[in-house]
Amino acid sequence: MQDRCTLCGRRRKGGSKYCLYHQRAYENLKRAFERWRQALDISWVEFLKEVAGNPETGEWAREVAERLTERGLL
Amino acid sequence: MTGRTLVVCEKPTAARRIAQALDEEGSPEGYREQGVPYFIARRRGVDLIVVSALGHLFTVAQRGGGWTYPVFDLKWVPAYEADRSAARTRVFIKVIERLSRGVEGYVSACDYDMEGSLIAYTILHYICGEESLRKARRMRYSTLTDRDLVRAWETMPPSLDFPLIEAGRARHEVDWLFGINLSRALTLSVKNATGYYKTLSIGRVQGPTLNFIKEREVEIRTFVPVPFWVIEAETEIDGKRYPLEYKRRRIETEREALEIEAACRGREGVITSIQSKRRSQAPPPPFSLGDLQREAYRQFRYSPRTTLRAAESLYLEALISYPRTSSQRLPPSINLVEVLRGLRRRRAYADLAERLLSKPRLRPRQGRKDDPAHPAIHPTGNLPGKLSKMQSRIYDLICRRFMAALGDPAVRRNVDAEVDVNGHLFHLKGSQVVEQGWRLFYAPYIREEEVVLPALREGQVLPVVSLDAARRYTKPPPHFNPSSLLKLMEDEGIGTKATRTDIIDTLFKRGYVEGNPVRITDLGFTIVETLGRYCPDILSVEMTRRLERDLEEIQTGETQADAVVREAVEALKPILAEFKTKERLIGVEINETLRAEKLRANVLGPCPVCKTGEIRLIRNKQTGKRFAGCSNYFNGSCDTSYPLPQRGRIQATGKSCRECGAPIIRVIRRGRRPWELCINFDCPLKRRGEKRAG
Ligand SMILES: [Zn+2]
Repeated sequence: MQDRCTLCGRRRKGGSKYCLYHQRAYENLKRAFERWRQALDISWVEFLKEVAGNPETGEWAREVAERLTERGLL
Repeated sequence: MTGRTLVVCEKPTAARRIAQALDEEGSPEGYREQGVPYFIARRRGVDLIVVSALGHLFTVAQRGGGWTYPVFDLKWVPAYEADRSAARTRVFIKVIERLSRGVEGYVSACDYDMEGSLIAYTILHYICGEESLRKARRMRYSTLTDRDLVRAWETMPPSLDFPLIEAGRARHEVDWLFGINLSRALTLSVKNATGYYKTLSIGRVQGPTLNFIKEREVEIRTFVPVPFWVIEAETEIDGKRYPLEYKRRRIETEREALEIEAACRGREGVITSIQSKRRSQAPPPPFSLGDLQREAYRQFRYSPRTTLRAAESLYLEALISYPRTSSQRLPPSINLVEVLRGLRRRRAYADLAERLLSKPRLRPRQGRKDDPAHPAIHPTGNLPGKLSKMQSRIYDLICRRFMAALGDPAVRRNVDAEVDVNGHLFHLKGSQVVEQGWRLFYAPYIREEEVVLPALREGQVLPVVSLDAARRYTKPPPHFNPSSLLKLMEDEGIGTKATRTDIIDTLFKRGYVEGNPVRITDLGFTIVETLGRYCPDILSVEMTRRLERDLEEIQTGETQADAVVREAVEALKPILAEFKTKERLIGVEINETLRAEKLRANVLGPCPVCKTGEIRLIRNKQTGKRFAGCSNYFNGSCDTSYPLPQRGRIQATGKSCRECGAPIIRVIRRGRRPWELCINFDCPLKRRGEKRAG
């Protein structure tokens, strides 16, 4: 289904490939990455792995992080 | 009062107390007709017929038929006509009707608040006739002690409290209008779009409340932690270890944290200055209902509902004042000395009460919040008989808080020694209570720890026995619990002290939230998500708050009830019209989300045996029992399956058992803390007797 979020099947939001919630999680990831990079000099892929394994990470954020790692996307 | 007088009370227990207090001999005649209790008391030569309601005997219903929306035409009817579960109200109405014949005076003696005023009003209006409303008077009291009841009788104002009644009537009508229309709109949208019938409903205040819970859930689920570092250090003095606090609680970068660690580890510290301050701690104010509910949750993990129930039973026993109050104040009209003398008779409080009685003056600590109708919750001084565990805990909390509010300030001595470790500033902090003051009365409920430091001097050298830069992560906001949810509603100005507890309960009953901490269910999520998209006004705090304010203004006479009800209708009209045009879309969407969520919820995790399928929750169509099986069963390549607990809701956790690789599930049952377990019955971890897997 073309108009669906690839992670959960909810309707997509605007031009995103995600729904409203996964899109928000994705944006939170991007914002958090800036702070991670300043904090400990880490690559995007390493960051995604760290976040995916962190128990404080929200489940939608984890889903996006895992998807991005699987695909090796930047 | 001239002739026979009908005294209308809210509950049978209250009726007995009121009859006893008003009867000059203290022994009214008790009767029972078709199971309905009533009393005849004699006072100044007049017969008082004291009858009881059963909560509301009348309620709002639709005028005319048809299960459709919008409906704006309403009428008040006997409760049993509108609600099958209210069947017992029929005999109450019948008995009151018979007893009211030939009566010359009327008194409303229900609990003194909006609901109480409305209960008595509808009884007088619809049973005794309009004429009775002109003659009726209102008793106002905050405790059910003989003393207060007699005083309330002697000082009754000459008419009913119409502003309060009107506010109550408007609230019921407005809530009914929202409830009936939104519920029908939601239910019909799914039914008309898909033919599938499922009762869906949302109330005026539930919408915004649920929306807050959903927003919090989204925040948690999209949360990404960020690392920071803390310096953890300890010193040792006379063989005892004390924490050294680094001047900055958080260090943003690893580089800096490691630099501090390298500079300070293995070094010695020197005390550069010592500050010692006495800090006075004012006593806490006496309890409002919200304060009591929060404190009972903190101390005993009682839900707001449990606490309210216990407090109401104590009130009906005339042991405490009316609990549905938002006041944190004890007005001068309360005879504090008499209450304390009462408490002194109880062994546990004898010394404490005596201490207060021997003070030259009693001045309670007053809180900021006030309530026009009732003071803060306080004991009456009556001696309790046998109390349940729950009652005695709540009673003790109230008594001790009351006494604490009359106590002196407590005094702490705080010591702050600045310690220099190779150019980095640390604090060595101590804190000690030097004067107990009010803490003495509230001691069982105070949980602060004291850090008592040995004598220190400037220039003293301290060893740094441990020092680490530890990595931490920011945390998502917590889920709400029943207590923090109540606080949120108070802070946001939605609901009232009398209705908030019920509103939270309703969200649970309808299956929109569950557990403690409170989690929104898929159903709750879907409802609030769809409403948010198509009619956000229903979820808007502004509208709820505005209505809440208008309802307040009816009480103060600034607004008319009918105007507020009309305003609610006008607010609903465009919302419902909009809803109708999108009904099909909304119905399809709700249904779709419900199905998608159901499907998603049924996946418990990857199959540990074939590694390609997923373990799903499956229901046996014949037996209705559920179990878990691999999705590859359907193509014949894997027949892994597991039995499941049959009660409670099962959720995937996304985790697999570290021992056997099977999915770990979360089981949620009402009234219990959710627990997690490995789905595999034969998991080696379980056989070794370990309870938790993961
Ligand atoms: Zn999604």
